[in-house]
Amino acid sequence: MAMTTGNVISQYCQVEDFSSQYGGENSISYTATNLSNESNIYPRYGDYTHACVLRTYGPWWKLAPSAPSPFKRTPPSFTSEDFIDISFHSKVYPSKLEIYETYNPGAVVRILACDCSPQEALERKIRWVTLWSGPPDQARQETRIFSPPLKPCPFPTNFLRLEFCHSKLYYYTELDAVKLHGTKSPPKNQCPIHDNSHSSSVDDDTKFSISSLCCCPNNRSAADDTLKWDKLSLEDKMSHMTLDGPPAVHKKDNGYFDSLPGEVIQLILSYLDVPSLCAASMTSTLFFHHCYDPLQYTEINLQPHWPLVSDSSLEYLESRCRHLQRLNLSWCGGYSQITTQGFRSFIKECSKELTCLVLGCCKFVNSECIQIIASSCNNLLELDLQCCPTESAGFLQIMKLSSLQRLNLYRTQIDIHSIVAIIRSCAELEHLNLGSCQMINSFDDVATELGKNCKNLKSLDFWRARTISDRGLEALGNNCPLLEEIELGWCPEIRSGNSGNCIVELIQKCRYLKKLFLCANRSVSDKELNALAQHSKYLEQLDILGTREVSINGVRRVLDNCKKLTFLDVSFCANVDFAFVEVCKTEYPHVNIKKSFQDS
Amino acid sequence: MLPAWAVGRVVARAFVSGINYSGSGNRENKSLVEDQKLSSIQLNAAACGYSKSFSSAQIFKKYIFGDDSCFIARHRLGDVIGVADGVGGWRAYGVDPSQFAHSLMRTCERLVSEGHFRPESPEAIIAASYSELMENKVPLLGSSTACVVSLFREEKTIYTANLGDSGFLLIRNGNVVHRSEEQTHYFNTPFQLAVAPPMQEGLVLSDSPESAQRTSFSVEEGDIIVVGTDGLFDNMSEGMILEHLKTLKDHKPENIKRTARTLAKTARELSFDPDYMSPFAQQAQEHGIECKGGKPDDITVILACVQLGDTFS
Repeated sequence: MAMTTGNVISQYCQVEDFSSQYGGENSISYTATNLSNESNIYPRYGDYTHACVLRTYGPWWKLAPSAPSPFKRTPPSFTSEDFIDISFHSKVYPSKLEIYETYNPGAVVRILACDCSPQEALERKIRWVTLWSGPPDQARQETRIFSPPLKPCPFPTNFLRLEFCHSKLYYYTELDAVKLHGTKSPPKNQCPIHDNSHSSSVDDDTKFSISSLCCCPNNRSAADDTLKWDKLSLEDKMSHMTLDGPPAVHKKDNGYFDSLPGEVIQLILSYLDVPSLCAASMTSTLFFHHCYDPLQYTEINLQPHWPLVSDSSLEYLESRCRHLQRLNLSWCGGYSQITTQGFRSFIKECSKELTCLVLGCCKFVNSECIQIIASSCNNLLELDLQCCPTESAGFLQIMKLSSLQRLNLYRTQIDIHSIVAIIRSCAELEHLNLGSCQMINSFDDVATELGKNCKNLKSLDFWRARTISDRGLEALGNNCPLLEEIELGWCPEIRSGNSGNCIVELIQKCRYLKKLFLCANRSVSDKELNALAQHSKYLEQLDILGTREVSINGVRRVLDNCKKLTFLDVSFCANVDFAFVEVCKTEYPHVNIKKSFQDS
Repeated sequence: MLPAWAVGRVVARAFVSGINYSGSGNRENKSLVEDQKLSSIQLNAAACGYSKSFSSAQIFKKYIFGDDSCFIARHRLGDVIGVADGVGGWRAYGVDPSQFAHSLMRTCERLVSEGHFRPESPEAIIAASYSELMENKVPLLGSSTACVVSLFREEKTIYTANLGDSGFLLIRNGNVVHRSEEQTHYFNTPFQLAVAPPMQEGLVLSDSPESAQRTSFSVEEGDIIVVGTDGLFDNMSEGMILEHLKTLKDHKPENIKRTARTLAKTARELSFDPDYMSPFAQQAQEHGIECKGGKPDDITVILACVQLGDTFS
């Protein structure tokens, strides 16, 4: 499908991997793979089924009761929330990338290129280079082709990652296609770059982090080459903090740092992200001791540094992580960069105090890894395995982690047998995400077991649970009165209608509801809205997208009575017109009212 | 007799549709430049149709003829064509009946052109398309018949799935070698796929995509396939269609288009003839309903010729 004009090859992408999607796993509507091939929406602007759509947008999911607490040591420059890996037919030196954004543009924040194809990547050490990065943008709400200036890429590539931050967006971002232009040989104005990992590189960030993450304390001389450079970087980093006085690193001694109490140095160092901390350890003996203090490594977030994290980085960190409590390895170790062996030895050493383990989209997580977690991390309270490719039966081991309070299994292959066993042994569960778990064939049974065992349940995500019906909702309503958040979007078997009253009963019984998502439930009517107006005084977020049955009076009653409401999605509600929404926006300025559109 | 302005409209409409139907086929061809050329069997198809109403000031949309809709899609594995007839009764609910049929056909087209199909199971294309309708954020209501014919290139076989009273003819050497059977609940009430409002579920006729009638035939170069909605078959007998197809001298794309257009036009003229004893009227009489004349209805015709041609490797 490649087209050649002169020396420039232009080609559309194929989607290889992604971290979330709006559409169902077996669908072709609103799925990430819709980014593949030619544009078929542009230049139209709107909410179309054949667009690529991610799962969330805006601040709303972070404000919900289910939101996990953020990690310390996250560099403020890292804003990415989702990614899509795309491949192309031929390897080229990229000259231009065109991203067709057909709804709420501005979410792309970083573009990386890999030095080998997805297939080759499984066999060797791979290298990612940032071609472009920028802050999230609240662009004008109109269709556009986004084509940021790319840094020269030191190698030909046919494998890119796009990273997205949609927290500033008004509504879901939708993408149509990605077109890569490039040449087979390096462009003439680009100096030939020796593709040697120890030479100076266009990608300074990467270089800095590689050397620091992999610096071994017993081999200081190896680090000397990069030491001088690292010092400068450290100085840069330090100057960003509110640290008075001249930086100490230029002096032979430790400057004023000697006279500071150890606790103050520790506090200062606690603001550094992990690569900076590693780099700081190389500056002086004083810093070395402080930077290697295991108390600096109680909470580490390696997600921002995912291109650099491999077995060896884990190995180097291992000795410092004896008191590790919270670990985020999301997006790390893809394409065999972390192996089961590497993960095993790290977890064996560092799991004693581990309470929170986040492994979103970690492609290395197999049944064995889950077994290692289950047998080593006895104190684990939070486990996030979203999008991990583990096979169904592998999840059963989680049942050993009986003190779990938070479990995220979004887009995994977990089956009914495993999840029921987990629920039966984890009575403390407060937050459970089973969104898009398509192997679970009876969500009613899941809900019934939750009702029996998990009385403290606060949030439940059943996004696209095809088999939850009245029976499951009844069990939840009767037994989990503390529920604050329920995601029931795209659950087609929940029928309100003439006969059923299940949603109303749930609303009556769960009085602390802060978030209720009922998108694409075609049977939601004024009956449910009246119940919310009457009973849900804490309600903050409500989504009733895609029902023909609600009237503007019902919507108005919710707006009038749910005083804490800040978010309301009435998209594609046939009887709630744009004129009414505009009126409500002025009458209820504290509520973000969403109404999406699709021109036919 | 139709007023002059209406005739003018017929011509205009036919012209617009003539431009339209070349859509997907040709575009695919362009992107094949790099692919290895391989002579293999393919369907060369053209669609044309008429809405029964001229008075309603509806905007002409691609592949929509009144409440009817159709698609022509190509893929490396096979060529697939199909028609759907939206059930008009939904107007009473304030629902545009063409929307359901149109969405169904557009989704079929997407499933095929993006490779989410197996050419040997057209019923699965209908089923997948139907379930994708529920995946749309827009709450669709309506019902529709559907007839999909799929050419499995490798096997040189067509596989068909027909739900309701649309249908197809397979013609070889001027003879009908196969004709689809209508599926009706009772006279003039075909099987149909439906999405009902939540309050009316169970009260609305709704057949599952699996109940589609399935057949398969091996095809030869030169075979002609006529796929149409009931607007065609209720107004033209097999014999008349065969007679008409004699005007198709060769299987050049422009001739296929012209013949599809004149076939639809003939059916349309007959449908407004009050004295013509149409197949529909004959059938009605068999059911004890006194009736004569054509049956004014939306008419959609896809004419497809089985040919050897350059196609996907």
